[in-house]
Amino acid sequence: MTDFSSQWLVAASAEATTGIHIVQGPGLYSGNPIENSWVRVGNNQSTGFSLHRTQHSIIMGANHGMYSLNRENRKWNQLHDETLTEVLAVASSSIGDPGLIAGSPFGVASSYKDDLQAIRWTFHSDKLSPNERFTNTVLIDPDDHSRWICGTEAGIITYTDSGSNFEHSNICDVPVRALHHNHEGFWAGCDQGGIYNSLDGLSWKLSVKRIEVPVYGITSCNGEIVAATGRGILFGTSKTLSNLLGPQMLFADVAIDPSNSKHWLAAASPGGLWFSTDIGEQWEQITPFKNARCILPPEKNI
Amino acid sequence: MRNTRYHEQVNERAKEILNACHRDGRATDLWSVHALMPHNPEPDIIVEIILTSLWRGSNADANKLLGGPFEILPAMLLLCRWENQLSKKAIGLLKEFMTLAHLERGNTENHWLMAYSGILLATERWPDENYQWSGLSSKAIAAEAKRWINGIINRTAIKGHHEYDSTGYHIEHMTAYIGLYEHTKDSSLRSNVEKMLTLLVADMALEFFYGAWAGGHSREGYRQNTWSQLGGILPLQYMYFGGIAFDRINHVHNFAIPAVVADYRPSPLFAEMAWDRKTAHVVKKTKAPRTIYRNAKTDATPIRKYTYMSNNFALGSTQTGLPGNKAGPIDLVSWDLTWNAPNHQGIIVCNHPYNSPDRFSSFLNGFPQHIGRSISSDKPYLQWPDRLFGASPYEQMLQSEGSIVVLYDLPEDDAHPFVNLFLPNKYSWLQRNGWLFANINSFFISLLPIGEYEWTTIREANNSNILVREGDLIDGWLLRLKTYRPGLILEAIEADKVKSYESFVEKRSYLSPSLEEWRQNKRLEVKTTTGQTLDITHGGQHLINGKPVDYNYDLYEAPGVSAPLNKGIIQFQNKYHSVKLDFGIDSNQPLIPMRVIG
Repeated sequence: MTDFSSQWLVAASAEATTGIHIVQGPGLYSGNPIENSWVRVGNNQSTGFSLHRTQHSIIMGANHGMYSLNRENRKWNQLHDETLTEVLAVASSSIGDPGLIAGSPFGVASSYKDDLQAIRWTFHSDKLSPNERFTNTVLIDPDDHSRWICGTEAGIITYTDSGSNFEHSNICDVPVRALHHNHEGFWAGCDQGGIYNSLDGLSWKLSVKRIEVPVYGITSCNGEIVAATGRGILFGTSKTLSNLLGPQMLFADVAIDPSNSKHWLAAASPGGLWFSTDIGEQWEQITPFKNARCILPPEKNI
Repeated sequence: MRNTRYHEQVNERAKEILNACHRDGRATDLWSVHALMPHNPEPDIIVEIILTSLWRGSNADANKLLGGPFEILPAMLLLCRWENQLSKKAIGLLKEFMTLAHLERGNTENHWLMAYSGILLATERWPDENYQWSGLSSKAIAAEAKRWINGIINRTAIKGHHEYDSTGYHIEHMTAYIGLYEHTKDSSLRSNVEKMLTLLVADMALEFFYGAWAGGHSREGYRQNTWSQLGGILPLQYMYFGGIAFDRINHVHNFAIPAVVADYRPSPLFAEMAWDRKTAHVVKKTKAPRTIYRNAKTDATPIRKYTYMSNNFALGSTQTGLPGNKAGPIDLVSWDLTWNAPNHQGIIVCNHPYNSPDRFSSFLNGFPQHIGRSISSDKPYLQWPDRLFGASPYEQMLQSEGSIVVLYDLPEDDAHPFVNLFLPNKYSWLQRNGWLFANINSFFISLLPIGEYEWTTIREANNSNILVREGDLIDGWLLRLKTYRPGLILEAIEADKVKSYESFVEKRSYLSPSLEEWRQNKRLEVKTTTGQTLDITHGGQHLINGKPVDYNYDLYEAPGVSAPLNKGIIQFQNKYHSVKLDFGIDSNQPLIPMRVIG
């Protein structure tokens, strides 16, 4: 059995129309874009919105809940309860057991185990307004796991003290769908304005220039950020940004091969999966996917 | 009516429905198979129905299947009721599906109720089984299901039903709760479910009007809201309330069959309430706020319904409580005038066909930049400019008994800056001083369209992909009110309350309001022929006879009903019957959060 750590994982569907009220259909696939060999992972048929790797599991935030895939025995386990659904973002904190943090349209929640060993959820956002609760993305502060930086429909809100308190940032009243952290600090992608940069997650400044298309995903490699936008892929630094690359479609996510930074994989729903071997200059569509929403790159050489 | 006599009548009507379903060859799916089971079908036929419904004709292993609420609930209701008559193979297939297939809850209140109900029944039937789709123990799965089902019942008893009074979806609630009532092994849950069923039956009875469900609805769409009788709930309305002739099409609906075959019977009180036309009266209801999770800076507020149940017509309206300018639930019907007539001939309704994609992303999680196209690919009619249903955030209304004022303040950039007013085309309309009148014999209708309008037709059909010959979905007059501040004033009055139709026409047309104040200051004051004054400011005060309207309704307000909000104690009674419900809710305990579209 192939180790998941060497595989790309993609929440995607091969059918053009598979979901009601959501364009994407069910499926988690593992594979390799160079060989274009993709295998459906297990029997879970949820529509995945977010993927996250922990030591023992792959966590999938999905349309109807959250699931973990055991990396050893390949069994799926339900992680949601009756309060958690439509999980758009998943992150891990070293605080608590199992330490999972979920972002959903209904807010931000942290996990605990009940007497029956089921995962239950405590919501920390109920005092906020609907737009502030609606959480598209969650980033755990790498220097302080009790700080959760969240991109919402009303800007960036940072939960502190493991969700006991929250602070608003200077990005407000604009949807934020992408967050990332690298050696230059925090990065945020917004519906309007484009990409912002911050050292503390609270005070943000526009990076380089305004971008007229929404940003849905940000990653980085070798000091450069790469962003999935509403009309292609961008890359650059805090000082320069490229023109939009690739086919002109809404890319929901982009990931870089950790063992070859020229290899980028991008997900579009609708539009499917696209692969570039030359830092985004040329792109090839990966069959059979019609819709792809999120990508987890391999951990090591493939 | 005595209980025994009522039960005999209900049993008779249930038999009519089940026999028609069987005789017409409609007992062919997992829901309607209950009508086939009393006829000792060949085991292979049942296996075939299971395979077609759950395996969808494939030869896949059960662990490759996907099951949602519409498979989970009927699978378990078939097993629970008929296990003694099912073959080992059929039972094995149902068990495989419930334990191995990937089961999901869906995304609306009725979906979750059906899913959790079926899943709970499965854990009770197979407590030691491994449920691969979950990975949790059956105890943990059952605990989750019970927390949600009890939680949503308690929410309903305190705050009102979320997915309220839906002609299309009430049946999914009823069938799931009836299935639990009949089959759960948890007596405490069963007791709670029985009380919930009473509320749902009361909801139907209080606004039942000659086979129609009058007033506002959380969900009544799919281009059928000009029908007099519609939706999957019709079989249960017929079965519980009777009073009309059996209709083998309207009164046989597959989602209802598991409820029709069940032994659950409501109190005869509700049939008597449903047919009590002796005195005109007002029904008020509070319903839970709509689930709006985006495009809103504040939460939705409670729904307040007001329905005037007169002898020969019903006029109902809704204070929808929607937050802001983007939230517009897609199949909400906020008001209509209903009377006893065939499809398209017994209703007046108007609607602003708000079509911003934001209304979808207000309660669905797809990217806002995509969602307009993706949802309208699934359901294209949701974006059609002729739409007669679906909420507009720019609509506001004020009603007093048989009179209503409906106003719209449309922004200049609205894609559909007009209102569609539907009128039946069987009647001879009369115009006087801008007012339109219709004589329905038993009562009279007057209405004043506000703004310039174009009188045209609307005709929509199921087979519209080829050629629309007959409007089997919609067929009538369409008055398109083309202005940025359109509106409607409507007054209906019983014929025996006025000297004559002509005198009503004369009096009503003489009392025309000044529209200048509406155009300038968004305020309209209307005098009715009965001496009342309705004074509404769009975005401002609602006054009746100079006094602010108090919309802090109880859970229910109607003759014979006591139902304060936030108590969970409700009483329904008439001269002969009394039903008291005490949900035993500890007001110090938080309610379960609403995490699904309702």
